[in-house]
Amino acid sequence: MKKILLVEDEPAQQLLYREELSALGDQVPVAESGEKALQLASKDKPDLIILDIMMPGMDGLETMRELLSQNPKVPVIINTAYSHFKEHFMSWAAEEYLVKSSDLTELKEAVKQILEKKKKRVAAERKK
Amino acid sequence: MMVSQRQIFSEVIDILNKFDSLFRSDPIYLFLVDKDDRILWANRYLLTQIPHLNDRLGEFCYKLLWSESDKCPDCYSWEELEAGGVCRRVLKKQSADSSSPRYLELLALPVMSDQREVVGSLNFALDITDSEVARHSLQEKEQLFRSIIDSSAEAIFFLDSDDRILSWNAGAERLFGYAPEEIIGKPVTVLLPEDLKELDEPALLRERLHQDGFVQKYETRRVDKWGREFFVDLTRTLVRNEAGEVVGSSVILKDITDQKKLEEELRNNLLGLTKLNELNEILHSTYDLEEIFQAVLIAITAGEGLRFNRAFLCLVDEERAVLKGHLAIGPADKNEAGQLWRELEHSFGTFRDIVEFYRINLTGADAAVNRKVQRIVVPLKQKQHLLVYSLHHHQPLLVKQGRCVEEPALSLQVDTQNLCEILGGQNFVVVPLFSLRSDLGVVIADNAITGREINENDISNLKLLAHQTSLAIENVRLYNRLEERLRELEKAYQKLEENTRKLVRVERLAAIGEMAARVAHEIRNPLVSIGGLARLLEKKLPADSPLHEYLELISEQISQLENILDNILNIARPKKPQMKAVNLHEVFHQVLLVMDRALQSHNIRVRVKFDCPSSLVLGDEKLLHQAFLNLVQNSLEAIGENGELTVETRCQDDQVEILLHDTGPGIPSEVLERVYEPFFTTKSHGTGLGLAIVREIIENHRGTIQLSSVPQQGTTVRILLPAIKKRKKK
Repeated sequence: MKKILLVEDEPAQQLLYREELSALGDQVPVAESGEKALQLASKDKPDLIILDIMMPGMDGLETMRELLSQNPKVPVIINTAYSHFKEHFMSWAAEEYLVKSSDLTELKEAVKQILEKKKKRVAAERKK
Repeated sequence: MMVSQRQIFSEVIDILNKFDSLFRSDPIYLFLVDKDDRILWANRYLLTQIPHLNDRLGEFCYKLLWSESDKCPDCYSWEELEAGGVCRRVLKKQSADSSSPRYLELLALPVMSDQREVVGSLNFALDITDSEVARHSLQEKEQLFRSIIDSSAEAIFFLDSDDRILSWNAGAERLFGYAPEEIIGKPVTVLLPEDLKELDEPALLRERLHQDGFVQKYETRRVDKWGREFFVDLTRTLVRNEAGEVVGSSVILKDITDQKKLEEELRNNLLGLTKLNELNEILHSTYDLEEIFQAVLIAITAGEGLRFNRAFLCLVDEERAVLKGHLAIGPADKNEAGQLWRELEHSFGTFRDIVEFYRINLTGADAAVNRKVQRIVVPLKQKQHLLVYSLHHHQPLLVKQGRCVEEPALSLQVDTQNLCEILGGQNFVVVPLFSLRSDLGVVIADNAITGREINENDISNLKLLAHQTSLAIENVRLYNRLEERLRELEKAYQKLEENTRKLVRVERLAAIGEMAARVAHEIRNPLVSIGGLARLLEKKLPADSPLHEYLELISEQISQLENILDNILNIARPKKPQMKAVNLHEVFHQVLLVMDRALQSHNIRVRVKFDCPSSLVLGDEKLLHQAFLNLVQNSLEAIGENGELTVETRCQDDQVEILLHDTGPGIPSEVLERVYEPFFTTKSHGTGLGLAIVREIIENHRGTIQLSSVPQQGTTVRILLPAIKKRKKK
């Protein structure tokens, strides 16, 4: 079972993403702010972080920088209503940049691929 | 003897004393003078006039009467008195007290002795100064009058009541050549030309004369002794005698031939000026150089113009640095000349008519002279050539007998031929055409057909004309240059305008985009929640739940909303196109495939005519796809149900032309103007961003898009995109 940390301030979306992602069989802790995300990440060691950008307090990109400085290897999917942050160089550090949609197919596809890729990589590292 | 004389005198004195007492004799002077000129007796009147005369009797008469020391020179002599018996004299005396002379009429009777000898004289004298002065002044006046008449340049003569010549002054003699003795007594009609006699001018003059008493400022003609006719100004006045009866008339004739000539000349000049003015109008009403050349050459040769027989125009060719024959006008020979000039003379009123009608005919009437002019080519470096010299020195030059009058050393050689040979004439005039800025050319004019000599007047007229022509040519050149500049400016302006339009659009889009993006993001979050939860809910429902349908509807509607947001965000922040070679046909096929079901369900037939074999353009496939998809969607919506959509491509030089035609109701023109505006829509649903996005995309591909629409027949979208040229393999 994988741990996917969801960073999202919107309660309705927290509910939506947790429901959908849990359906994949994963554990989905939720942080409603950047600060909370950093706490949870250091405690839970998630396999993947799904990160919103526009949040009260610490914004997504800043949060990502902190998260990546804690654990550079954790893949981050930016999931935002804004398409234009994709041009921001900070967002390049993310594994994937997705624009929020009510249809979560794309997001779930990305999650699956990234986790698989990570699994393979870990396996390969172990072989060494 | 002595005694006898004294006796006689005393007898006479006695008689005189008696006479003097019997007759009142003043104002007559009566005095007796002896042969020694001594006054022996004077009457009372004389005694009262000269003081102390009574005491001085016996003194000389001249001494007593005039205080002179000698005998008066104008007095009679004793011999005269002896011979004539009586003497009458008018003596003129300058009296001491007055500057004006006094006149004395003197009547002398001899006093005779028994032997019939004159021993003295009895003198009657009367002061006639007043009447004499009047007579003198009359005489003087008459003299003056006569001298005026005689010295007058005008012919002055008098006619009797039968119009016969009574007098003839020197002026008349000069004018008509007749001496007075030849003409006096002759009828005045001698002086009339035949035609005026026939018209009975004398009757006319008589009538006017008797009506008004005079005729003046009457211009007519007269003929002199030798038959020469000339113009005169006539003044004739009735002459009456003291009783007021008409006795004749006076005639004054003034020779106005010179004045007439001057008037004629002036009129001609005025005519010339009018023509020049007309020509000027023509010259300045056109910006076509050839038209100007034509008008000028016609002006030089036309009867209404300068009346030269032929005219040749040579122009400076700056590139080749030569003076080159350009155009000519004139008949080839005398026969043709006659025909041509008659034609011109009769058919036209104004100069403009001629210029408008007459075109220099290079192959017809003017062919010969134009062949000649084409042979004139003179390098500008030949400074001592007649034509080049005239051009450079801005000087008209006259050639007589094949030689330049002003500068005889100048060459007339053109290649191996003499200019005279080429022109076929030895006498001609060259005038330069030049402006402040440049030397333009020369005009050669001659009278080869009539042989009329070229005079100063001709040359100065030609000079004037050349000046006008130069101005007109310069004007045209300036105008052309100006026009060129204007065109450039217009182009630049158009470009500027286009850029401004683009800029304004971009800015407006940016502003709209900014706002749209903000709104879109705000909306997107709740949409994601609603749509996502609806889908989630749908999954959790039992398979047979009737709620599935509702949730599906919610999800669909949300998806549509999200699409709208995507569109808004696209225009707000258009993606940078990823350019590569794109086959438009393929893109269209994909679009039509996507739309296939929708089109079929609305019963819309699609006709595809891909006429352009190579439809490769450099572009972003996704963007082009989106653009075409939008257009097809628009067409579909326009048609509604049952119709036809035609997609066509054509090759156009280096562009691919794409035409989309639908059979919809068409777009009203007021709507057509606004279709590209973002958020403008006539649809009840949709964002109104479709065409704005399409245009954005097409223009980012350096293409153009045009919409045209015919009501009830449909709408056509025409897109031009730059094509990729296939390089030919070597």
